Amino acid sequence: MVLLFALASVAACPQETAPAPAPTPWFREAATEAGLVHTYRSGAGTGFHFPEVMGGGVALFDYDGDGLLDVYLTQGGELVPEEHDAEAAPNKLFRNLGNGKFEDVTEAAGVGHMGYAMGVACGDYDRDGDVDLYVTNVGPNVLFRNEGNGTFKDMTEEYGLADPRWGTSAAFVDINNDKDLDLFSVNNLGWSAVTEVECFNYYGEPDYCSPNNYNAPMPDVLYSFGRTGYQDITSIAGVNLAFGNGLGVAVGDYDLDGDIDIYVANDATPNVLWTNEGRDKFKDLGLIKGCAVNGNGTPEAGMGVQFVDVDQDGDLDLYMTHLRRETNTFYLNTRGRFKDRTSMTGTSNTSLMFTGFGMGFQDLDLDGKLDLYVVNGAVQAWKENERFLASDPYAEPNHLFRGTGGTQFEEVPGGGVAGNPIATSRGAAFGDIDNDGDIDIVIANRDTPTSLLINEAPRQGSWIGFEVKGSKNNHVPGSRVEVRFGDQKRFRMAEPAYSYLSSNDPRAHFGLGRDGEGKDVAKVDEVIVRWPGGNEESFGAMDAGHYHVLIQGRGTAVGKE
Amino acid sequence: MKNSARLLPLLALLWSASGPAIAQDSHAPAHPAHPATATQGAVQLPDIGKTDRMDPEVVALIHSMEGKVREAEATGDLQAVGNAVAELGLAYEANTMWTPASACYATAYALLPEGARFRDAWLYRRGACEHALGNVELAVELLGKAAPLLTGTAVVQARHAQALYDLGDLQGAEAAWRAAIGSELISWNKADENARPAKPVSIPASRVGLAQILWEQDRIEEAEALLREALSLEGNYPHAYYLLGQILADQGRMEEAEFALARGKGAYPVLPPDPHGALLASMRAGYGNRMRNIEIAMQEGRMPEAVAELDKMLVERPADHLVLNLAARAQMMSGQLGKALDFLQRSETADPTEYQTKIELTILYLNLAGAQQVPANRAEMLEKARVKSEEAVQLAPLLGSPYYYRGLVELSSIAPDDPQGPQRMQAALNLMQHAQLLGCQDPQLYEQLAMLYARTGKLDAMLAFAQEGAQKSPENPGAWMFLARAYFSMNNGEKALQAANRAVTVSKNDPQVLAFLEQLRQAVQQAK
Repeated sequence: MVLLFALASVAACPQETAPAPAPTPWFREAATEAGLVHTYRSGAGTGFHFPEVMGGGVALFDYDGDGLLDVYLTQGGELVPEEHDAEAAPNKLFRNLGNGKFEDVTEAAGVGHMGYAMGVACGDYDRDGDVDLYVTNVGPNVLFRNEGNGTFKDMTEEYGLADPRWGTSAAFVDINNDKDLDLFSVNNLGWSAVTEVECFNYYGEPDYCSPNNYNAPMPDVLYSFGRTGYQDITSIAGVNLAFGNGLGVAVGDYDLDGDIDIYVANDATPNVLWTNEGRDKFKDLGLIKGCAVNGNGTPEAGMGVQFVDVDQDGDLDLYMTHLRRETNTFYLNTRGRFKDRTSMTGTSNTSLMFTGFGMGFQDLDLDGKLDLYVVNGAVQAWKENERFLASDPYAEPNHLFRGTGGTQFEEVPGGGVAGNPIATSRGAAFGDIDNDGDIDIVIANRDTPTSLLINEAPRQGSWIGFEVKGSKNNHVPGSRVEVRFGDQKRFRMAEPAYSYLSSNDPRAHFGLGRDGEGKDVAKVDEVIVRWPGGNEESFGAMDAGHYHVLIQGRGTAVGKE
Repeated sequence: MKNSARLLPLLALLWSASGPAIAQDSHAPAHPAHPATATQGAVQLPDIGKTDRMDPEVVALIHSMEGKVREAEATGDLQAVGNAVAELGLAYEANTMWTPASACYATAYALLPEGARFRDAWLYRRGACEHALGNVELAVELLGKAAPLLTGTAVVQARHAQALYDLGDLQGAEAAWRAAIGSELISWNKADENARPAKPVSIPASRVGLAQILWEQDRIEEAEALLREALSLEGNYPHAYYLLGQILADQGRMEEAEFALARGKGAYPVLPPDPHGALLASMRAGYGNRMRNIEIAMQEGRMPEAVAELDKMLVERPADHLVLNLAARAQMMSGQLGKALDFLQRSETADPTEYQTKIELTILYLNLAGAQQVPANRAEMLEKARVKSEEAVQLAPLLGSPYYYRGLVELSSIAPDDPQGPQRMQAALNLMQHAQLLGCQDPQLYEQLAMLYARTGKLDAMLAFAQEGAQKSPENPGAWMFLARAYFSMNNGEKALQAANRAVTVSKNDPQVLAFLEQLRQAVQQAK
């Protein structure tokens, strides 16, 4: 009886599934035609060296000050060179030519470092008006100072930044509101070829380990920038008191007390919420504030992370990508405490199947609501007959979620890209590469060419964007921009440090949607910047459809909230 | 064989519903489908692809269970075939291969007649496998069908609740958790007289699960009451403590919250007992599972069992340094230091670049040094420990633990009236500080470091260090006891007693902690 019923159901299926119309793609893959040709080489061979499965990263930053976002892509190589004959390859810097094309300027710029690179952070640490570059490696990290003439100078030794451990994500952050950019550098675990261990996947086949197999989590590092350069203040600041297998980092003033806090997404160990207590002191309040572990009290495999105001109430929520069989987790900020409210996003059931890495909330279709893009890639192989890509056992499709209001999202079929190209994706950086007012994405794929997703989503409204700068033409990360129009308020961060191993467009970008009559919003009534330190300035009304520069001190002071 | 011909088309159709098996390079399904099937006999069993890289023991188990299916087919008994396929599913599930397990359970469910023993359980097991795979929608569908059929089995309702929660259906999840609380009986099938008799389950899992749903809906008082009820059932239940801590923090009751959260660290949601749990455990095969079982046996003091299993593994893998190191540890735990040394030397020969073996040897030589009566022999053992710890440092210079053990050797090498004592003390301090900087997590490190600070006259540093230890591990009574000692050594009896009381709060019924508090009280009184 039951079998017959099952048969009937099966037979009925084909008749019920009429082919759905193909959704309009939101993005066009354009890396090859743009000349953005680079493949992150993991060096994976016969062994399973853990760092091989974690890289690499992307930075979007305007290195030459021409108003166009250039692209820096990290490169892996050979973790155990004696196992391979292959030649090492450098990280790459691609200059944006502004015509949809990129030019490889690595050699001329002098940023082709040959270490086994993971991630990258960007910031104008010396406040000379150009953006500097910090690259993390399995081994000593590297700081490149932008000389302002198209070249960079390696400052690592001079500043004592050559931490020999395995660096992952990093962020330039002003921890004490002195306008100098300090540097927070995340470390993963104490890995070396001799500490490698043998591990197996769910099918009992040799595969990459879980980080906890090494039992060697590493403290992160905080460098303070002062007159003599950078100084390691890790112990002084107390950020050595809690640590895990660090991967992602996000910075922002989550408690709205006027100083920037730091959140570290740890892999399979509790996350750390470094709450800034002033005077260069930090305290980990992750557990008491509800964001060290998920709602069950369980540490998850934190990868990519973003401080983002998902519910647009003026404070910063958290979203984090995780391992397969874990949700990507949403922590809602309620008066400075976080609550795992993943179940209210509509993203959890999709994420349980995949391993998420880079991610970003941006208003990709300009309808006034934040959308979410997550890139995926397994860390343990899918079995031959379960794979998404026959040639790559770690490849998984990426996901696009359209914001439907509040904290709700719905999955856009096919990841929003025609053909939904599949790879083992890691870092992802978000920014308006072609300056056409919508957000594009660059994705670092493991052993597969880098993806450049140019936004071609049908526009659901107008947009406005802001460069938030100090008096020396320097970007001021950690600033919150608020726009008001009609009865609406929207909040965005001008902050490049989010996602995974990546640095993003430092500009604050808003989709404005349409007004009650269905017309594109033509202007905003008021723009308010909350600067690091908590001071707020109003910059008045501004036209939509443009990027505006907001310079600290040039607006009208408004009272603190 | 009389039923085989009838089975084939039915199963083929069942499989055909699962869609394409392998995605090609340019297009992939949203979710992976069931594995492809191979036509080896009448019943199509899951094809898990190449098995050459899999653990041979697991492969042998699977082949053995597949053989049982073929044997059952030969009897022509459809029910026997269904049961054999289900057992194959259990073998797959026990070894974390949920995709073929799910396929087997689907087949078994289709083959078995309505009312057959465990038939509904296979529906549940398939739902559980799909849930484990992250196929939440299919899991909810399957578990939703199984839940009303297995109302007396809490784990079924609980898994259904979890899947509904993952889907974002809080109302459904709440109802399912309430059903789980109402089903706290272990039984698969009450109608089946052969089934295990129902018995009550007094575990807090379902109450905690429901409390979480209520907390998410800001129904704080109901949630707190459920959590307190759960903790009355089991006083040491991390998940309940974690949620309670969050609820208390929401209410601004921070001191209580911190205490609860410290006890909730490392929580992991636990489901009610699974009636197939023991059977699944018995089917876990392969190297990793065997090693884990040995470690568990050693932790639980079942040393003869552990040693017997290690002996078997050493025959199969005589040059496996992990097996050799575990064998050495078992011998050390049994006080057989000579045998332990033999195993570790074999391990070192098998893999001379394994830093962990060097650390194990360091520990062993330190133990051997402690057992020597003759100073020269003791010095010889200490020198060997020094060499091995130095080799560990050279092999793993970025890890903290080799530096910790190197420091421990220095410390252990200080003889009474040793003219080099101060230098060795400083060297030990430097090494242990470096270990701390590199994130060494050995619980003894803080204690050793603080002792070194005290012995080198750096009392302020010692106090700061003890404070740091308590701040870093507030749930560790030892950290508070050490802070108490530090305060006492600096003549601050009041603060010492406060810290000791905190140790008692963290570990209420620990007789050692209570005795420490009493001794400290007396010492403070005498000092006055």
